[in-house]
Amino acid sequence: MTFEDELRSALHDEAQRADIRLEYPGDPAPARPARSGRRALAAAAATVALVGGVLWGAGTGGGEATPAGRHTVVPRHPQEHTTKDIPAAVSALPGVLADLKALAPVEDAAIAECMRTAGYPVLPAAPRSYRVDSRHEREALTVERARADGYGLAAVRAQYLRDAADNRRFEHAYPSAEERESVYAALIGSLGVLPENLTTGPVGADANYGGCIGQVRQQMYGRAELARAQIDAWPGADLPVGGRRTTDIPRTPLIELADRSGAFVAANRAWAACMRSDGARDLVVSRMPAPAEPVLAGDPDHLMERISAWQATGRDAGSDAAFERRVAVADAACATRTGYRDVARRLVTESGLDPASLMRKQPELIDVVLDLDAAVSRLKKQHGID
Amino acid sequence: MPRARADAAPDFARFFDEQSATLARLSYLLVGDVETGRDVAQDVMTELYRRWHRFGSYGQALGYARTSVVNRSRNVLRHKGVVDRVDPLLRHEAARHAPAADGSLDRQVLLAKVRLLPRRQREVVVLRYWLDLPEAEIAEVLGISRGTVKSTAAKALARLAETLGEEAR
Repeated sequence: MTFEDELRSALHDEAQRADIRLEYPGDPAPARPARSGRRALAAAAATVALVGGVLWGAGTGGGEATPAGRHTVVPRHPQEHTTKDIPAAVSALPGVLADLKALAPVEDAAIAECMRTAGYPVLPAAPRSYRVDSRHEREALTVERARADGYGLAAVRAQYLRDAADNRRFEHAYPSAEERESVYAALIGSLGVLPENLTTGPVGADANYGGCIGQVRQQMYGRAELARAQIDAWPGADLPVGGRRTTDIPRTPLIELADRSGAFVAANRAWAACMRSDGARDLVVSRMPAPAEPVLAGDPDHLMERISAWQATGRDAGSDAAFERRVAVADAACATRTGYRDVARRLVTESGLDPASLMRKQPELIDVVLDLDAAVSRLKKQHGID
Repeated sequence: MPRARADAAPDFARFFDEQSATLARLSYLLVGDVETGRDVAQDVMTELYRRWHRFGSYGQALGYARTSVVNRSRNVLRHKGVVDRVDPLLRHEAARHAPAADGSLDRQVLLAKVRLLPRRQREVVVLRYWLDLPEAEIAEVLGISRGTVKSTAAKALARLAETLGEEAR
């Protein structure tokens, strides 16, 4: 049997396993069974109303807050702004990022309280790891940097181990898939039902999940929740450009461009061969060399995957720093020797991620930054955060 | 019942009987969850029912339905991405699968690898190897060129073969 036949057969068998019957839309609608997380969500909503009241305080912050689950943000079209707005937005961005970080404990506490009231006192590492404060400075991996501290995993290893411990506690508290689905439903809403008020912003980020996270954030940020989501979806928001800091690095377009680039495919192969000749085969065992990986060397997701790759090989990621350095040095040297780095840099320019292009895109961010700036300033004042 | 729906009902009923399960399975293969696949297909069917009078032919409705299922599945996956991010133990579930002891291809590993493919590659693989759609129809459903379908399928196969081969080493 050829590989394609195996694939075809596996997909057919898998599809057949799913016994799926739908309700005919024209019939009188029978009552659909309640999902497991429904009751939790109702309780969560009640809690959020309470938490939201505390968060917004009496007569201070309720101005832009809207009832949970009913808020829809319609971003202004970027063309409505003039270039004079750009400097204000750019100069506000570093402060906004710092303020979001400062507000994270407030957000965490509200989410945790919401979940406790819904009957879920043990949480995964979720709300913490999915936020601005998990970002790392992005820079191309150089041999010098690799020689000094490898991929820089030490910076994320401690957090990773703490998260792993939290997740083990979470798994122990809710051992069945059904229980965990209920927790996630209470935390972010049901996966099968898109929130009615789902709003997609200019970078494709969904502004509003359901559950405790979505509702708490709506209560906290109100109209600016879309802005906060956009900042979250732009992991390179604090990229320095021309002496100032602006935003970007939408990863997907870059990877899609890399997928289409013959030069990159060739460079990728050469890089992988070079890595293997240096004895690094076990590092790349669990995935292909990631497109544009040296460009995204500081991305926490990629670093986490490397840690996982190590664990898959049975190595102890917590203590094998010498191994990390050796492979990182080979990685950086191979990227230079095979021309991978040059090709990757060219793709960055072609995908509009070079500094000049970033500056041209700034009007798209004005709403995002200014809305968020106003919201976080108000929240900081409300919670007495300097 | 509005006149347009009453007129269209017989054709829609046939369409529903013949396609609803297939569309739900299409979504299931894209999102990896039966319940979600059912919900996505149910929503598409409901939307189709409301708009049925606008479709000039069975084929036109089918093309619309397939595209809707793919698009809605993408949205669900974007949402689901949050769960994957917040639970690294789930995220790397596929990587923990070991190859079969006799070296043969483990179907669960293969399916796990299909789920880990980039979004467009996964869609092309499912449309091509499960629905057996020709390149032109895949291009229409996904809104891309035939050439892109072809190259995407080739890359997906290469990626699957490479990742499976590397795991077996």
